[in-house]
Amino acid sequence: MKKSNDKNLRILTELVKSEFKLRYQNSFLGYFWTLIKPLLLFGVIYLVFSVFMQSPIPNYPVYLLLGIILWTFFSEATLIGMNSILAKRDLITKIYFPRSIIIFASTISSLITLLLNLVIFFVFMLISHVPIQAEALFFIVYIIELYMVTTGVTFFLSALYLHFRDFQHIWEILLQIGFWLTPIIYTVSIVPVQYHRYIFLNPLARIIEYSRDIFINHHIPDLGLNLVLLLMAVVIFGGGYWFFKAKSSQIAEKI
Amino acid sequence: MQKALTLSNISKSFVLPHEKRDTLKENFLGLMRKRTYEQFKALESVNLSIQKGDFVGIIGKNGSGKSTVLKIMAGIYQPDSGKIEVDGTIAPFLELGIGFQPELTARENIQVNATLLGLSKKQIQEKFNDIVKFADVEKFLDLKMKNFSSGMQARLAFAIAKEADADIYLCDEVFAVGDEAFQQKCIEVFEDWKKMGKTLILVSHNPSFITQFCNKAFLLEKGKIVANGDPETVIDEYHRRIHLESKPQEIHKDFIVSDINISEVRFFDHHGIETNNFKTGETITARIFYKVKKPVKTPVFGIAIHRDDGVHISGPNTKTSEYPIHEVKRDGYLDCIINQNSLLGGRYVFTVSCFDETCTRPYDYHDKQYTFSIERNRENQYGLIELPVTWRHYG
Repeated sequence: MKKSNDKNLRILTELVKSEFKLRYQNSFLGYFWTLIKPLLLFGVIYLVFSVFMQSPIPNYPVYLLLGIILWTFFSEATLIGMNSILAKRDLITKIYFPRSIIIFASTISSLITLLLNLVIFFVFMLISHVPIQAEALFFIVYIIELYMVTTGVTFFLSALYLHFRDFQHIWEILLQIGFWLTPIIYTVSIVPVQYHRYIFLNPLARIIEYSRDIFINHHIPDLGLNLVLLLMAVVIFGGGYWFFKAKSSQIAEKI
Repeated sequence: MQKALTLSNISKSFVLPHEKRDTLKENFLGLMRKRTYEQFKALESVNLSIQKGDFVGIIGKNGSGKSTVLKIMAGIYQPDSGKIEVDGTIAPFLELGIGFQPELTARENIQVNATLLGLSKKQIQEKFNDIVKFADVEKFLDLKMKNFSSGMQARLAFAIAKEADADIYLCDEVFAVGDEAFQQKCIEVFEDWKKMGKTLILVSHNPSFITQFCNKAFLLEKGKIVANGDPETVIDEYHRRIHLESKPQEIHKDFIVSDINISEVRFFDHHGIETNNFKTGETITARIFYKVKKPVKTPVFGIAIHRDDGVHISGPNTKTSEYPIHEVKRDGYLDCIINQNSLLGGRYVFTVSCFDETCTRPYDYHDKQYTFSIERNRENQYGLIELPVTWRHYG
């Protein structure tokens, strides 16, 4: 058992490495692009909402950048991740190893990008004179939960994608809608209270809002709220993994 | 003897939809029409058990389920029913590869694939040079895999699989690509594995590889095992089944002027005893019986001998042998005497024909319809035939 875990861990490491190379080797600016993309989006939205429309939210740039970085991770990781099984078809049809490793390798590669983006975010906080306090450590919990939600969704999507090849387009549209329904360019406080419970059905909304609470208000949300979010993350991750496992025995035949 | 791998009652079928529905729209529109499926039974209650140290050959025509069996053994496909028991680690080499990623360099692919086969970082470092040397790709290590020829890819894949240090090796058509030097290397590796007591499962279209290496063979037909045991016997059965199915060549039928019909061919040894089994160096008499409808002037009788893997060994006829037959008027037979045959051990197929004087119009033609075999009487036999050589040493 231990031996096979070691082996799977080594496979995961190798696949993450090769995934990283594959994603960035063909573009001129290479890895730089992934860092620039959320910044460009941030720049445009900042111009429109903060300069043109004079957003009333204090520390709006920090709000916005954090929301964009977390959302970009979710959308890129799920889009690339749902494709990863097909992209690795050469391996899958020739050799057996747990298929879930492919999904983990893909989302971990995206996670590394997220961490590098967060470095930019912290630099940005320093420039904006928002102090980083001890509560910021709690952000690690949200990153873990974000990773669980993202990977759970990716498991689900990649299993569906094998059966319906145009699911990718549908998911792209859903992500577009999600971008506006999630408090990314706005905060929940400007939304009428009666809609809050719908907005908070979305775990991404919770993760983004709670993270902002930590960094900007220096306040850790109540235990109850944190438990609800944790439960959501566990259910999505567990459900996605279970669904993927149930479908994974057929993967080699379906691709 | 310890068991290495057992398949009990394995069945596997693939669902082939008559219309392919991959997109949601197709699925949606398809709701209104009834979908028709075709169940393709790739394997039906396959039982086989392989002992440690066995070299097992799996033979069968295209689509008989050979590759599916290997993929089930490798864990790539899940069977619909049945049980697999494996004792030991498996290294697969399927369909000419172990799965390279075309956009990565050879160096990176070695790293990934060796890890997939269970090697640790340290082991990969130690074996890296051996792999590169065996595959003969020193100069191309930083070239992307997509630029490799299929032969190079297969060589590299085999080189990595070889280093996997597995207990059971699965090989699907290793010899299909690659030049003779590579085949020779593979053969040496097989010999090493045999000495080390490894288990090999070899799928090949080429029966002579199976008789050469394996101590056990299975014949698959339409997803079922129809023969198993000693490779020679299994391969005889394979040929028997192929000949049962193969129809006489239609193309010749149209041209045939059946003034002479070949009725049968029988083989006799030098004692005049009818047999189909000979030894190298023995004299073989092939007796060709014919029936005459109308007298024919100067017919040309010919034979052809092919090895069972299709290699054409020889094709003499009465014209090239300068043995003219002036006229045939009534039924009779003709002996073709192969003096002290120089054929090596193996199975041979025999073709017989009768043409007109110019060798353009056939009277009759029996393509590869007869077989005989030469006993494998010595360990070391190289090449196609045994030439009558004499050695002389001056020293």
